[in-house]
Amino acid sequence: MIKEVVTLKDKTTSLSVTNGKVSAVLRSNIQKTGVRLYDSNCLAIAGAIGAYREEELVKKAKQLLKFKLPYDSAPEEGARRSVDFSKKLELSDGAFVELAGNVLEALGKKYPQFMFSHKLELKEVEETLVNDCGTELSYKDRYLQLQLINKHRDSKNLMDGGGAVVSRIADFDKIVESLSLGCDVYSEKADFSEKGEMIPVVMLGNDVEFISKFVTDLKGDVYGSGASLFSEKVGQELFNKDFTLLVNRDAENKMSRFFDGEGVVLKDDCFALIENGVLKSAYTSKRIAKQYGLQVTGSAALVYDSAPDVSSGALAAAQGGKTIKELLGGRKAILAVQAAGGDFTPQGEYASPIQTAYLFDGEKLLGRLPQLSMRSNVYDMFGKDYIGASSDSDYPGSPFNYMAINMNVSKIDGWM
Amino acid sequence: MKYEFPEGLYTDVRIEHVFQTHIKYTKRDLQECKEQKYSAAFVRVYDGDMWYYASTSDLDGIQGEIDALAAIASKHPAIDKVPIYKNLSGHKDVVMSFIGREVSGVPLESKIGLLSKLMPKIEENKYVKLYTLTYLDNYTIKEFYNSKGADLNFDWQTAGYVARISMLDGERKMQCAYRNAGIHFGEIQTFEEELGKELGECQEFLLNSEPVEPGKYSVIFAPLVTGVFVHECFGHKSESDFMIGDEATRKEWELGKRVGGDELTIAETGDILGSGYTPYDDEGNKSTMTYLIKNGLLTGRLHNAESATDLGEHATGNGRAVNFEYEPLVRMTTTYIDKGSKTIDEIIAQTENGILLKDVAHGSGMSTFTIAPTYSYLIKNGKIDKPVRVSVVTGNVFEALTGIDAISDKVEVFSFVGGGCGKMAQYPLPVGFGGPYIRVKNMNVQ
Repeated sequence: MIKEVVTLKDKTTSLSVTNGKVSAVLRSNIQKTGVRLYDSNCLAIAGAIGAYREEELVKKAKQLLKFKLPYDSAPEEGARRSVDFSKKLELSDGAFVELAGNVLEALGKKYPQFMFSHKLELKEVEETLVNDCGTELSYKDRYLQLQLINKHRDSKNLMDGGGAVVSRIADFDKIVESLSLGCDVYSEKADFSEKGEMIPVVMLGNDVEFISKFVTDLKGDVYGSGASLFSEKVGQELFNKDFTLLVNRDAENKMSRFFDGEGVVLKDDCFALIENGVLKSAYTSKRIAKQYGLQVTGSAALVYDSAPDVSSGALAAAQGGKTIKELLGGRKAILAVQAAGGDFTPQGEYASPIQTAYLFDGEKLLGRLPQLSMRSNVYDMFGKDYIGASSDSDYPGSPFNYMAINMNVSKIDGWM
Repeated sequence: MKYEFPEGLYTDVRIEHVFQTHIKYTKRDLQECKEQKYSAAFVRVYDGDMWYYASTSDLDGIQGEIDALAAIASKHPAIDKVPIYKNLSGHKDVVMSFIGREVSGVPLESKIGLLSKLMPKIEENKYVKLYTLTYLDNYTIKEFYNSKGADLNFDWQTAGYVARISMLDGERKMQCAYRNAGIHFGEIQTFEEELGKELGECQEFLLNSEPVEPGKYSVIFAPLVTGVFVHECFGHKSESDFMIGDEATRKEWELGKRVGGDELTIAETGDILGSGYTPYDDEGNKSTMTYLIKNGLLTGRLHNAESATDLGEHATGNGRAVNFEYEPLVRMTTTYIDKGSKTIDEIIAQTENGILLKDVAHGSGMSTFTIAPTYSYLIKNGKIDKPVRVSVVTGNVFEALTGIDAISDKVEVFSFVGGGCGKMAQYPLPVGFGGPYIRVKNMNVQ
């Protein structure tokens, strides 16, 4: 019997913001622990929130072994690595509260006609996976997670825009700039002439909307069972040569754990599922890879008290060498700040509204656009219409970059 | 008194004792099998200016958390005169609705056995390529205490399963889901007929669906879709925390304003036993029946103590938190459109060129709301013509409400497991929703 212990610690100072002022302070410090027992090709897990006694979790897990949850992959052996980025952000809890107050004051002075609300958080996370086979993996980080939505005082909407910062760098001026995204051009209504032409649509950080077909259809069991749109197409050049889709576990740049829920550490912390347009693999856990004869891609979720299931959490388009301005090459684009609720059909057709959009030249916002809708299909989006994933972001140290795709865009009646 | 609450401050303590089960199969391979049991608490202190929160899994340390929060708050000389104080209640009550039928008392083997019974039925269909079966239950007992003397003890429960099915015929793909959820284990034993219908419809779509011609249509929502619509399209706008300090929005949402036809009534209550059941909210306020729209007029909105105070109204029992790690926000419980006067057959017969949405994958709501349907049918000249594939249906909230021109005469309200409502970082909060069939004019269909 092999024992494996997973620990997830989350310490957060969270400031709730209402109408531009801190209305509540939450300090939380929560630890979740899971004990996994591997025995005779079976797995049992017992978990606890907060204080725990390991022998009790072991006893509980032993009781659960009778349900014979099959797990015929070996636990990771001898993987040892510890990564600690928690000292990179030199900002005490007290200094964070002061910074937040100063940011809100600056926003209030610069944009008195706007109301800002939501959360400003300082997060400290520590995640470890240790087992009897000599594996000891540890990731520790500390970063700002700031998100404000804004609303013009005369507006009848629930929100008019919003900005977010996730970074280990506390740059006051850039924070104010990022969190007030769209405020400067709120009154600048940009022209949108509906001619049925293809227009570059740019997303920043929320491009998961764009890649959601890969999330569903490159999932190992969906692919392996033949139920995917891409089943049996490994090796085929299906997409644009500039498009590469990674399982990206680069902890330094993506600000997330470098190992997956089974303790798998990828070579160079990356695995290409699509490389230069060629489909290379579905994403898998060890269990799914073995079941369907696929490669292990380090894509098991790490949930403290669950069996490792396949997770799309680390999927991201590989950044290219060009900035978003260079990618657009002088064309004006639509920066889609909010594009929620759309979807792909099983056949790969895609449509989505764009609730909050700005005209964008790759450097600055040129005006506010009305509500739009966009449509295409997965092969065109990542084939002939793919423009690229940028090398830059809107904030220093951000894990997010821009993605641009030519889409068929039309106007929905009305403005946000 | 269970805790010593400091003078000059308002304090409350919410304790959650949670039991939950999660079992998952991919085809016949067991992939998850766990029971989870924990107790944890959320503590709030208010000093008349700011809230101070702490969440903890150490129940023995709650008094310490109260004292630590009190130490950083500023005592108010007349905290009982602070406006929000009157919207925080001191109820004493015990409401245990599930004693004797707790899912924690059902052996894990029985839950596994139930899923095993579904497998042969699914595998009968030759087009099924992959399926997952997920069983989820949750039995939670909540305790609530505050410095106004509140002493509450109540329970909440759901049980259910979801079958997610992928069908394949050559290059054609189709995914669908069969859900069965209730408030106790005995309620979810029967599935044969409904699962058979789901498989049949999924197969029909796989073999015969065509891409929809994008455009504007009259769209008929089946009761489940109506539920998603009312939740996403209107329910979120009724959560009045977004109106705090916001004069423009208050004017826009002034009570008494006409927002729909005479037949349109939308109600919200935590009293319906189901996934949205909330006899008391997470601020200790009792559930109410709130008519958000009555006969087409805006008549009410949802509140927690803070929003009710800011708008000069009463708390409605809608201050809810997803779990012990979070503070209560204004959230829905069970929301539904009330019945109208036509039969569904009459509504279809009176539709010249429309789309019928029978099921839904997901929805979202802002000024523009979205519905991503699973099964959609083209209606031509009053008859269902053929299955069509629709990515998304979108519309403007107010235009959609005023665009409802037919409401059927029967209401269905649904419970769920395996998902819920998201707001800010708090997801998934269990809610219920439903309604009758409704027809909405002039919707964008893509």
